[in-house]
Amino acid sequence: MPNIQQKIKPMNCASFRNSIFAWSENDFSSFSADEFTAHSKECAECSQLLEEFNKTLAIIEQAKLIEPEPFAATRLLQKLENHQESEGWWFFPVSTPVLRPLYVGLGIVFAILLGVVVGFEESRIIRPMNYENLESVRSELNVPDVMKDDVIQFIKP
Amino acid sequence: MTDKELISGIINRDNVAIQFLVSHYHKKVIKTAYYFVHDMKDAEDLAQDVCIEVLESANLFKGNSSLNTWIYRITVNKSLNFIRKNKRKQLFSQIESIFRKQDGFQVVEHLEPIYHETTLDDTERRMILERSINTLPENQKTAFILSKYDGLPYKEIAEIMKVSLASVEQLLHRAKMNLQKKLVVHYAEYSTKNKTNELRKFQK
Repeated sequence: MPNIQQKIKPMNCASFRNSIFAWSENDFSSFSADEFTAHSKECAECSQLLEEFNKTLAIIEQAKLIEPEPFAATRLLQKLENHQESEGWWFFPVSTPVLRPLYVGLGIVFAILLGVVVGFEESRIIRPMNYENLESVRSELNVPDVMKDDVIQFIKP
Repeated sequence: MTDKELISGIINRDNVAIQFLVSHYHKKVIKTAYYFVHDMKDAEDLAQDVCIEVLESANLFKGNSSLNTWIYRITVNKSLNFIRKNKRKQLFSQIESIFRKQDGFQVVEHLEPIYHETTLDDTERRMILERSINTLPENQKTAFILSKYDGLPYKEIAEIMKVSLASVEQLLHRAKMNLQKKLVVHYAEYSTKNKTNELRKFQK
């Protein structure tokens, strides 16, 4: 009768360490479970490594049990209500990161245009003449004195 | 309430529909976000962002996938964006700390954990695992978290990630191999440190 132990090929540390994840998931498609177990019994370092690995994977199972805080749903609903209330103030999605630079650019262009229009309108406004200007106008007017006074009276606010 | 009813309710801002959405999905969303960001407060904030996105984009939901898949997809994207932003922040703070060092300010650095005990405790193991997962490429990380933490079937992961079933299998295989390598390196380092500590104790 052939000895079963003799059939098991020795597994080296590198292949053992490459098979740990598969072993923990019972996936023996790429290696022999017997070889793996045999090496684990022979090599203390790899055996410790396997133990640590299994304990680490158990952390994932622990993480699955973590639950959100009891009032998380209430807080979430409150925040959504607040969001809905503020929603009506905006006609376009301001928070969209893609559109934000566009809005900023449009804002700058609008501000510049507004400045140009206001400046242009300002230049078109006819200001009332003051008395200093009136004197210079009076000297430049080439009309008889009587008429000059009429003009000045007319211009005077 | 069916997906269609829920979506039309959300579009019409029906309070019953919104309450149903929150009560049905908040735990899933918070937990998935937590698996990515490893912080419950951040996960709650992300859940809020996800719900707002669902409210705002409900009219864009075409029904090609289930509402569950769609919400998972939004959660994954928001979580990955959050991690990216955090990485950028960390990078800036690192650059800032370099300048502060030069200015003579005292800087508190994030040191590597020092293993005082002879065995690792669960907090250290969790930290090592989270760090190792964080260093995986985004698509491998997503596939791994959705499969191992959320326990989703490959088909649903494929729908969430918008990739083929074969791609999910491949991504998961690569994620496991990478994680295995990183964990083995961590434990080997830990084992070496342990041995050195024991030797020092023996010499004393």
